[in-house]
Amino acid sequence: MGERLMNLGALFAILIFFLVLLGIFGAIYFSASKAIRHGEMPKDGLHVLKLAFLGHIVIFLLLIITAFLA
Amino acid sequence: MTKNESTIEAGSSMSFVYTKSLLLWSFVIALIPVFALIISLAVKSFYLLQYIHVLTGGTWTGFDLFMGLVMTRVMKNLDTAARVEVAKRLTPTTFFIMPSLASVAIASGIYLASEMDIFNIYSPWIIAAGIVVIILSGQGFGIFMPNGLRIFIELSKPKPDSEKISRLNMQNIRLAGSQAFFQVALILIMAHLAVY
Repeated sequence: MGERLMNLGALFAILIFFLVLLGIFGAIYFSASKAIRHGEMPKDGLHVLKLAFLGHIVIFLLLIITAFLA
Repeated sequence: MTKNESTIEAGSSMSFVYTKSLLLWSFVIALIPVFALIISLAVKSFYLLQYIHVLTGGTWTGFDLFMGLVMTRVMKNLDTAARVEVAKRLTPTTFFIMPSLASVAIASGIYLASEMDIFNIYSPWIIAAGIVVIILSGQGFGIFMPNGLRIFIELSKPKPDSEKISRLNMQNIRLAGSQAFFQVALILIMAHLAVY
Protein backbone atom coordinates (compact mmCIF):
# COMPACT_ATOMS: atom_id res chain seq x y z
CA MET A 1 0.00 0.00 0.00
CA GLY A 2 1.00 3.62 -0.52
CA GLU A 3 3.32 3.46 -3.55
CA ARG A 4 2.02 6.73 -5.01
CA LEU A 5 2.64 10.17 -3.52
CA MET A 6 -1.12 10.73 -3.13
CA ASN A 7 -4.49 9.50 -4.31
CA LEU A 8 -5.48 12.32 -6.66
CA GLY A 9 -9.00 10.96 -7.21
CA ALA A 10 -9.70 10.88 -3.47
CA LEU A 11 -8.23 14.34 -2.98
CA PHE A 12 -10.37 15.70 -5.81
CA ALA A 13 -13.54 14.05 -4.39
CA ILE A 14 -12.88 15.43 -0.89
CA LEU A 15 -12.30 18.93 -2.30
CA ILE A 16 -15.55 18.75 -4.30
CA PHE A 17 -17.45 17.75 -1.15
CA PHE A 18 -15.75 20.57 0.74
CA LEU A 19 -16.85 23.12 -1.88
CA VAL A 20 -20.43 21.83 -1.65
CA LEU A 21 -20.24 22.15 2.13
CA LEU A 22 -18.97 25.71 1.81
CA GLY A 23 -21.87 26.58 -0.48
CA ILE A 24 -24.48 25.09 1.88
CA PHE A 25 -23.05 26.75 4.98
CA GLY A 26 -22.61 30.02 3.10
CA ALA A 27 -26.26 30.07 2.01
CA ILE A 28 -27.55 29.23 5.48
CA TYR A 29 -25.14 31.67 7.16
CA PHE A 30 -26.38 34.40 4.84
CA SER A 31 -30.05 33.75 5.68
CA ALA A 32 -29.22 33.53 9.41
CA SER A 33 -27.35 36.85 9.29
CA LYS A 34 -30.39 38.40 7.63
CA ALA A 35 -32.64 37.02 10.40
CA ILE A 36 -30.30 38.53 13.04
CA ARG A 37 -30.37 41.93 11.31
CA HIS A 38 -34.17 41.80 11.34
CA GLY A 39 -34.13 40.89 15.03
CA GLU A 40 -35.74 37.48 14.43
CA MET A 41 -32.99 35.53 16.17
CA PRO A 42 -30.17 36.15 18.67
CA LYS A 43 -26.48 36.03 17.75
CA ASP A 44 -26.15 32.65 19.50
CA GLY A 45 -27.64 30.99 16.41
CA LEU A 46 -24.75 32.24 14.31
CA HIS A 47 -22.30 30.96 16.93
CA VAL A 48 -23.73 27.43 16.65
CA LEU A 49 -23.43 27.67 12.85
CA LYS A 50 -19.78 28.71 13.17
CA LEU A 51 -19.07 25.77 15.52
CA ALA A 52 -20.77 23.35 13.14
CA PHE A 53 -18.77 24.71 10.20
CA LEU A 54 -15.49 24.59 12.13
CA GLY A 55 -16.13 20.96 13.10
CA HIS A 56 -16.71 19.97 9.48
CA ILE A 57 -13.58 21.81 8.34
CA VAL A 58 -11.51 19.78 10.85
CA ILE A 59 -13.04 16.51 9.61
CA PHE A 60 -12.39 17.46 5.97
CA LEU A 61 -8.77 18.47 6.71
CA LEU A 62 -8.21 15.09 8.38
CA LEU A 63 -9.76 13.32 5.37
CA ILE A 64 -7.45 15.26 3.05
CA ILE A 65 -4.51 13.77 4.98
CA THR A 66 -5.77 10.29 4.02
CA ALA A 67 -5.43 11.15 0.32
CA PHE A 68 -1.68 11.64 0.91
CA LEU A 69 -1.35 8.38 2.83
CA ALA A 70 -3.23 6.11 0.42
CA MET B 1 -49.53 31.34 24.93
CA THR B 2 -50.24 27.59 24.99
CA LYS B 3 -48.52 25.21 27.38
CA ASN B 4 -46.53 23.74 24.48
CA GLU B 5 -45.28 27.15 23.34
CA SER B 6 -44.24 28.19 26.84
CA THR B 7 -42.37 24.90 27.32
CA ILE B 8 -40.50 25.38 24.06
CA GLU B 9 -39.70 29.04 24.79
CA ALA B 10 -38.42 28.28 28.29
CA GLY B 11 -36.29 25.51 26.86
CA SER B 12 -34.77 27.71 24.14
CA SER B 13 -32.90 29.88 26.66
CA MET B 14 -30.84 26.93 27.86
CA SER B 15 -30.83 25.11 24.55
CA PHE B 16 -27.77 26.96 23.22
CA VAL B 17 -25.46 25.57 25.93
CA TYR B 18 -27.08 22.16 25.64
CA THR B 19 -26.79 22.15 21.83
CA LYS B 20 -23.12 23.11 22.13
CA SER B 21 -22.37 20.24 24.52
CA LEU B 22 -24.14 17.72 22.25
CA LEU B 23 -22.30 19.11 19.22
CA LEU B 24 -18.99 18.68 21.04
CA TRP B 25 -19.88 15.10 21.94
CA SER B 26 -20.84 14.38 18.33
CA PHE B 27 -17.57 15.92 17.11
CA VAL B 28 -15.40 13.83 19.47
CA ILE B 29 -17.15 10.60 18.42
CA ALA B 30 -16.91 11.64 14.75
CA LEU B 31 -13.13 11.92 15.03
CA ILE B 32 -12.75 8.22 15.93
CA PRO B 33 -13.48 6.73 12.45
CA VAL B 34 -11.43 9.47 10.74
CA PHE B 35 -8.38 8.82 12.95
CA ALA B 36 -8.85 5.05 12.56
CA LEU B 37 -8.73 5.53 8.77
CA ILE B 38 -5.59 7.67 9.04
CA ILE B 39 -3.91 5.05 11.25
CA SER B 40 -4.84 2.18 8.93
CA LEU B 41 -3.32 4.03 5.97
CA ALA B 42 -0.27 5.20 7.92
CA VAL B 43 0.59 1.67 9.08
CA LYS B 44 -0.41 0.34 5.61
CA SER B 45 -2.70 -2.31 7.09
CA PHE B 46 -5.07 -3.70 4.48
CA TYR B 47 -6.78 -5.74 7.20
CA LEU B 48 -7.46 -2.67 9.36
CA LEU B 49 -8.64 -0.69 6.31
CA GLN B 50 -11.11 -3.45 5.43
CA TYR B 51 -12.28 -3.62 9.06
CA ILE B 52 -12.88 0.15 9.16
CA HIS B 53 -14.74 0.07 5.84
CA VAL B 54 -17.07 -2.74 6.95
CA LEU B 55 -17.59 -1.26 10.44
CA THR B 56 -18.33 2.31 9.32
CA GLY B 57 -20.48 1.14 6.39
CA GLY B 58 -22.41 -1.24 8.64
CA THR B 59 -22.90 1.36 11.36
CA TRP B 60 -24.07 3.94 8.84
CA THR B 61 -26.56 1.47 7.32
CA GLY B 62 -27.71 0.24 10.73
CA PHE B 63 -28.28 3.77 11.96
CA ASP B 64 -30.36 4.64 8.90
CA LEU B 65 -32.37 1.42 9.18
CA PHE B 66 -33.07 2.24 12.83
CA MET B 67 -34.16 5.77 11.92
CA GLY B 68 -36.29 4.62 9.01
CA LEU B 69 -37.92 1.56 10.57
CA VAL B 70 -38.06 2.42 14.28
CA MET B 71 -37.87 6.18 14.81
CA THR B 72 -40.51 7.04 12.19
CA ARG B 73 -43.00 4.84 14.09
CA VAL B 74 -41.99 6.31 17.46
CA MET B 75 -42.15 9.92 16.24
CA LYS B 76 -45.52 9.46 14.53
CA ASN B 77 -47.20 8.97 17.90
CA LEU B 78 -45.60 11.99 19.61
CA ASP B 79 -47.14 15.46 19.81
CA THR B 80 -45.30 18.46 18.33
CA ALA B 81 -43.69 19.55 21.62
CA ALA B 82 -42.29 16.07 22.20
CA ARG B 83 -41.02 15.91 18.60
CA VAL B 84 -39.22 19.23 19.12
CA GLU B 85 -37.60 17.85 22.27
CA VAL B 86 -36.38 14.83 20.27
CA ALA B 87 -35.09 17.10 17.48
CA LYS B 88 -33.23 19.26 20.01
CA ARG B 89 -31.25 16.24 21.13
CA LEU B 90 -31.09 14.10 17.98
CA THR B 91 -29.93 16.78 15.51
CA PRO B 92 -26.78 17.98 17.33
CA THR B 93 -25.87 14.46 18.49
CA THR B 94 -25.86 13.05 14.96
CA PHE B 95 -24.60 16.23 13.26
CA PHE B 96 -20.93 15.21 12.97
CA ILE B 97 -21.21 11.45 13.53
CA MET B 98 -23.25 10.64 10.42
CA PRO B 99 -21.17 12.63 7.87
CA SER B 100 -18.01 11.21 9.44
CA LEU B 101 -19.26 7.60 9.20
CA ALA B 102 -20.43 8.17 5.61
CA SER B 103 -17.20 9.91 4.52
CA VAL B 104 -14.96 7.28 6.09
CA ALA B 105 -17.04 4.39 4.68
CA ILE B 106 -16.88 5.91 1.17
CA ALA B 107 -13.21 6.96 1.35
CA SER B 108 -12.04 3.61 2.76
CA GLY B 109 -14.11 1.86 0.07
CA ILE B 110 -12.35 3.81 -2.68
CA TYR B 111 -8.93 3.10 -1.14
CA LEU B 112 -9.80 -0.60 -0.81
CA ALA B 113 -11.03 -0.83 -4.41
CA SER B 114 -7.83 0.89 -5.63
CA GLU B 115 -5.71 -1.45 -3.54
CA MET B 116 -7.54 -4.53 -4.86
CA ASP B 117 -7.24 -3.21 -8.43
CA ILE B 118 -10.99 -3.34 -8.96
CA PHE B 119 -11.50 0.42 -9.17
CA ASN B 120 -12.30 0.28 -12.88
CA ILE B 121 -14.61 3.18 -13.71
CA TYR B 122 -15.90 1.28 -16.77
CA SER B 123 -17.13 -1.67 -14.69
CA PRO B 124 -20.96 -1.63 -14.46
CA TRP B 125 -20.72 -2.63 -10.78
CA ILE B 126 -18.38 0.25 -9.96
CA ILE B 127 -20.62 2.62 -11.95
CA ALA B 128 -23.68 1.34 -10.02
CA ALA B 129 -21.83 1.81 -6.71
CA GLY B 130 -20.81 5.32 -7.80
CA ILE B 131 -24.41 6.25 -8.67
CA VAL B 132 -25.69 5.04 -5.27
CA VAL B 133 -22.88 6.91 -3.48
CA ILE B 134 -23.75 10.11 -5.41
CA ILE B 135 -27.43 9.73 -4.42
CA LEU B 136 -26.51 9.14 -0.76
CA SER B 137 -24.06 12.07 -0.71
CA GLY B 138 -26.58 14.32 -2.47
CA GLN B 139 -29.21 13.51 0.14
CA GLY B 140 -26.70 13.97 2.97
CA PHE B 141 -25.29 17.29 1.83
CA GLY B 142 -28.38 18.58 0.09
CA ILE B 143 -31.08 17.70 2.61
CA PHE B 144 -29.80 16.22 5.91
CA MET B 145 -27.19 18.84 6.70
CA PRO B 146 -29.18 21.93 5.62
CA ASN B 147 -32.18 20.63 7.60
CA GLY B 148 -29.97 20.12 10.65
CA LEU B 149 -28.60 23.66 10.34
CA ARG B 150 -32.12 25.07 9.91
CA ILE B 151 -33.16 23.26 13.10
CA PHE B 152 -30.18 24.83 14.98
CA ILE B 153 -31.16 28.28 13.72
CA GLU B 154 -34.81 27.78 14.65
CA LEU B 155 -33.88 26.51 18.11
CA SER B 156 -31.75 29.58 18.79
CA LYS B 157 -34.69 31.92 18.16
CA PRO B 158 -36.52 33.32 21.22
CA LYS B 159 -39.75 31.86 19.83
CA PRO B 160 -38.85 28.76 17.81
CA ASP B 161 -41.35 27.62 15.22
CA SER B 162 -42.12 24.21 16.70
CA GLU B 163 -44.05 23.07 13.60
CA LYS B 164 -41.07 23.87 11.39
CA ILE B 165 -38.62 22.04 13.68
CA SER B 166 -40.89 19.01 13.86
CA ARG B 167 -41.37 19.00 10.07
CA LEU B 168 -37.63 19.30 9.31
CA ASN B 169 -36.79 16.58 11.83
CA MET B 170 -39.42 14.22 10.44
CA GLN B 171 -38.10 14.91 6.94
CA ASN B 172 -34.62 13.85 8.07
CA ILE B 173 -35.88 10.71 9.79
CA ARG B 174 -37.92 9.65 6.75
CA LEU B 175 -34.97 10.41 4.49
CA ALA B 176 -32.79 8.18 6.66
CA GLY B 177 -35.22 5.38 5.80
CA SER B 178 -34.73 5.96 2.09
CA GLN B 179 -30.95 6.11 2.66
CA ALA B 180 -31.18 2.70 4.30
CA PHE B 181 -32.79 1.32 1.12
CA PHE B 182 -29.92 2.68 -1.04
CA GLN B 183 -27.34 1.40 1.43
CA VAL B 184 -28.80 -2.11 1.36
CA ALA B 185 -28.53 -1.91 -2.46
CA LEU B 186 -24.95 -0.67 -2.12
CA ILE B 187 -24.04 -3.60 0.15
CA LEU B 188 -25.43 -5.96 -2.50
CA ILE B 189 -23.08 -4.36 -5.05
CA MET B 190 -20.17 -4.52 -2.56
CA ALA B 191 -20.83 -8.22 -1.93
CA HIS B 192 -20.70 -8.85 -5.69
CA LEU B 193 -17.44 -6.89 -6.01
CA ALA B 194 -15.92 -8.77 -3.09
CA VAL B 195 -16.85 -12.24 -4.37
CA TYR B 196 -16.56 -12.01 -8.18
